[in-house]
Amino acid sequence: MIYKFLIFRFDPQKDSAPYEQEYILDLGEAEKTTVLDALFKIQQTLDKTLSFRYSCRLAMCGSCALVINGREGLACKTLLKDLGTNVITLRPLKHIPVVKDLIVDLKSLIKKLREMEPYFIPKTPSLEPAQIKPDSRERRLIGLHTECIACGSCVSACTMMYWAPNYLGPMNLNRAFCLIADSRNWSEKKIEQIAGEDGIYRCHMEFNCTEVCPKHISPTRGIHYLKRRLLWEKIKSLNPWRKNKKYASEVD
Amino acid sequence: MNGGDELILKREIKDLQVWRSTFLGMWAWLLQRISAILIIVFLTLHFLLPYRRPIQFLLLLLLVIHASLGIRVMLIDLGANVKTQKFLFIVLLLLGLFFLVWIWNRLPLGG
Repeated sequence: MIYKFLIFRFDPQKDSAPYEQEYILDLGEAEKTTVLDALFKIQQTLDKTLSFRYSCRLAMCGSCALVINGREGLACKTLLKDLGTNVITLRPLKHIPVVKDLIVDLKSLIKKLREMEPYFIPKTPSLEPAQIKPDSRERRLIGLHTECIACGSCVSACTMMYWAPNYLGPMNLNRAFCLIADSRNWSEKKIEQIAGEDGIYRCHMEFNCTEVCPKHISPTRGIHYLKRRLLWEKIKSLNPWRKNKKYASEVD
Repeated sequence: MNGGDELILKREIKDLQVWRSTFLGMWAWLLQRISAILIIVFLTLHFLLPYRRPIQFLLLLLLVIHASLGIRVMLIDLGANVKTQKFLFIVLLLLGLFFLVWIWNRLPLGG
């Protein structure tokens, strides 16, 4: 089968503006050919200057996330036959700075994530390893949310990233959810961060992030847990007889 | 271009491909916002031109759509499983439309 690829091209060293380049490729049956395979073929046979990023090729690292025919997805996981057309448009992820062609600079996302202290901070110092049983309610609540591969697809699909570039975004809020829902974690500062202007209330529940996540995570679910949690914390803080009026204990 | 030296692609509504990644959840959000604006328009028309059945019907229809989608948002906010969001969108809209037909036949409306 002959495929027509319309690929976003932009080299900040040479180009004054981005443009779309057309490549025609005969890929035969292409039953198991992925978008990443096609990109390799284009680079090896048609255009050596085409830049794209990849690493594991197993949908584990998130490096090859692209906007494929208008929808975010991993190039290594997306089969050409599943796209239902032989005209394929490839663009870099939205709301993230473009480095070259299909490569985006994830630094801005990582910077925001780092500001949030996205790591475990124990509530009480202990030399013993704290445990949460796999079948406990708490672990089931966090579920697969820890499986995020930070590919940036959710950030690209989120319309609020367009209107509020400082919004923490679904990826970072998903991380915050994993930590705040963990009763062993000291979450007070994180709760304050997510309650701010660029925090959870920017989410308008459009579910775009949920739809495009290659790991089938729903950041919207996590964000809504955080909204409920914050509301509950605020209600508890209204109690005049509480010792710590600011926030209640971490464990519900 | 952003700041002259950094290119950031955005989700521009004039780009037709953007609508391919507009899923049911986002249509629900858009529909609720659009219905909110139209409610203001039809409410004004209703005050200026009272007892006009087409205006009354359209105003009720918009209210039903807006309320149904609002109930969906509240249910999810209160902890309904997010996996049911598409189901809730369809079911609550259908229930709203049934309610509209039911109430339309019972309201003392103008001629």
